[in-house]
Amino acid sequence: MDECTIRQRNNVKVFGSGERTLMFAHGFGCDQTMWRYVTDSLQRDHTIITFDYVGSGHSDLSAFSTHRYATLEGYATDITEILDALELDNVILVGHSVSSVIGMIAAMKSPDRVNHLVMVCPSPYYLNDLPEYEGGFEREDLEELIDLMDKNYIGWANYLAPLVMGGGADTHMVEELSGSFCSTDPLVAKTFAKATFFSDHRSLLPNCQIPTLVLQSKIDSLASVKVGEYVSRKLPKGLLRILDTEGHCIHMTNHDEVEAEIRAFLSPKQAASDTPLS
Amino acid sequence: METARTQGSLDLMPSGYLVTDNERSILYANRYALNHLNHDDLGGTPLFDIFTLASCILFESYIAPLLLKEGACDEIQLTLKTANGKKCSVVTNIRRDEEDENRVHWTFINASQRDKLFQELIDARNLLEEKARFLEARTVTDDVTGLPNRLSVTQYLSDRMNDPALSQSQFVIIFIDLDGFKTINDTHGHPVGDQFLKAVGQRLTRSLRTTDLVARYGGDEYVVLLQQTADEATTNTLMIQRIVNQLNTPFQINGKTLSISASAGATRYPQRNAVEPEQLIRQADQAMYEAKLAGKNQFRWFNQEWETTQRTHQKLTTQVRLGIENDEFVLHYQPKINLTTGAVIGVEALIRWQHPERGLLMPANFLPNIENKRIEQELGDWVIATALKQANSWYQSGLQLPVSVNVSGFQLMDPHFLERLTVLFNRFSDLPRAQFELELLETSAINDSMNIANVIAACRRMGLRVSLDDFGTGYSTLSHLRDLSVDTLKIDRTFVQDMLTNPNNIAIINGIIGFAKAFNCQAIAEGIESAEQQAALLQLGCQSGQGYHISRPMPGEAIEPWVASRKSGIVSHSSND
Repeated sequence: MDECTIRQRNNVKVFGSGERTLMFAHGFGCDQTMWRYVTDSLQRDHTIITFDYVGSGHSDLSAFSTHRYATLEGYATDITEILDALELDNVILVGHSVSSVIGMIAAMKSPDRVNHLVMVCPSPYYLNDLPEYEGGFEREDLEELIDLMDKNYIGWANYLAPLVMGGGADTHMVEELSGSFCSTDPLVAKTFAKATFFSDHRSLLPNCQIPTLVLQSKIDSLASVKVGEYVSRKLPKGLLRILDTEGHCIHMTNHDEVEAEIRAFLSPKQAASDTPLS
Repeated sequence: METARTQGSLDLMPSGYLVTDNERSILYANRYALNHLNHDDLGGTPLFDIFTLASCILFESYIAPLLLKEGACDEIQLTLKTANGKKCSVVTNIRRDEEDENRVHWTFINASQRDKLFQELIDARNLLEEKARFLEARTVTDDVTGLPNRLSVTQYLSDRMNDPALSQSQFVIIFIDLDGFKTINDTHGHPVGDQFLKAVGQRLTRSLRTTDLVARYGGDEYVVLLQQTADEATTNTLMIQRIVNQLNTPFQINGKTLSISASAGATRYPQRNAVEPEQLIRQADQAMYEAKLAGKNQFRWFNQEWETTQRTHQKLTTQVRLGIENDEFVLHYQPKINLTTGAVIGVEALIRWQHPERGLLMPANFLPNIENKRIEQELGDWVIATALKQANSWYQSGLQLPVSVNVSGFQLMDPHFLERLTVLFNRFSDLPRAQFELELLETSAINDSMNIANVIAACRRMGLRVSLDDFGTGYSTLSHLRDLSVDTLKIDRTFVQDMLTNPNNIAIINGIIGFAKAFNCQAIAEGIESAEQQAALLQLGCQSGQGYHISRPMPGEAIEPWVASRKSGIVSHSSND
């Protein structure tokens, strides 16, 4: 696919100015506009790239495939395809929540194109795997989440359409919904939710040789501090920063701090030492 | 911080109302909320304490960003936790305070009714799914046997052959047809027949591996797909024979003992040439038909050559049919004369094919290939119609010239032959029927000679003349003479050819002439190629003949001048005499 197609497909935006390129990947349930708070000031001295995963925001919904996007690797391919199409090198890839892991997968697939990772509130696995790992959730919690999503997203028609229309067609169900923020097609949302909450990517962490900043919210019901610690400990070049914040969307609620941490991470001093602080 | 419980109008609200701050602590809850969540006081309680974990995720990933961006979030269904640990489903509307950014207002109502509707939706979906499965099963399952039906097995084959992962895997298709199943239906009735078909299906299924497939193809036909484990033809042949033979063991149906046998044909996949699923089944069906012809209760492999021959026949049939339409066929006529007087006593119509690509073809070039095929009858009809028209035309112009045509036993066997012949003759009602003669090839009268004898007798009753062609070359010459009542015996050219050098042939010709006299019919010699042969035949008492010595076959329009010149020749000859 050519650059133009990819740009349209993922609603890719390139703005700002600066030698360094920062690429921002949104998390589950939202789109690229959630990065606006952070990019507003970073764009002054950085080239910024934002995009929507296929199925989210203003991406091309017709490119959605339940097969491809059933795993995080499918979303990571969106990133590597954008990197290839734009012929970007030495990119700092910033991902929120599940995009931390997606970004890591993409970076490991294209190590020449990505030279730094920033993970905002990451979790490689949401389920508890006690005693070694405390993801925070039991399977029934996540099944209830899918159930809640069904109840919130899916109306009668959407729910029954696949049966009435017969299986095998993704496209007729992924019609664009009203343009409100974060609105997502039910099938896309559920596919993304399942890929996010039921996948386990812990084993990838030790193989990621890219310098990575892990930004952890002190109080985060989705990804607890224990999870953040686990991630930075397992990453060979992980740097953990725990922010005195509450909630999971700190790039929106505490964007100044997030911006400052990113700038610090990218500063020559930090880049020179490149050693984990925690 | 406000107290969690205040008196006032908010407590009269018939819905839950909460105020939270940006730290997600509850600042206020009205009476409905407290009652609903079974709390006395919620002031200062973290919001997530009354949320299930799933609701927490939904809040973090969906509600919180939406509130930050748009300040509101409507009709979100969440699950809350009551003080005693029960879950309750609510629908909430959420607003950020326009004046105080640190406040968020929540209202919620019970969603149990909504949940009930949702449950009904799930039930409806499950029912629909079940119905869809049922309908799908109905369209692919045979009602009588419960086996996959014709549609299903064809679809399965097609899917399998088109699946790149499986397309090269080997398998065998067997076509099984019960021998004489109709008798069971006729004798015991259809309900017993149906049970019998089911029992056959069960027995077939039991004898196969789980990886194999058996389907009812229709009527008393079954199709079996055998996975080929290794390329061992003998193993498969044995397996197939075992499958067919086990149907010989009697069945117990409703206390009755019923016996049957089966004929089966099989073909293999993949094949050298690309092959369609339907074609595979057709091949197995053809092989089964061979097994039936060979005496039933047996099994045959499909023969690729047979199919090739069939295809050639098919092609030729189309060409012949097209040839008839395009007037590519013509009749040439060979005169027959009285060997003594030289008078023309008739002509034999002989077919030629002016082939657009191959040029003029003699009958030997194409007739053998359409022998005993429907197209042979069509072409035969054309010959009779064309010769009749010619005979009539001569007759109308004053030339009384009997015309004979060749007919095969296969043509006469057609139950509608006489009917069509009558219709044709009615078109030329002026033409005396004795002006027309059918020449029946003796060799073709072997099968079912009684039936043919009846047709010949009927033709003669109509007034037509009938001769037995190539007489003496068939196997049962004498019995034919006994059964078939004909007007003329035609002495085959092979006897005439060598008669001057081979005394045996003289003896045979003598014999035929003797038979003719004995059975009160005439004899005519074919293939006279010299004056010596003609003289010798005359000496033996044969009065009539035809052959190159007398005249080659010629187009219809050349006959009249020929006859005329002949007459004048005879006249002049006579006058010279």
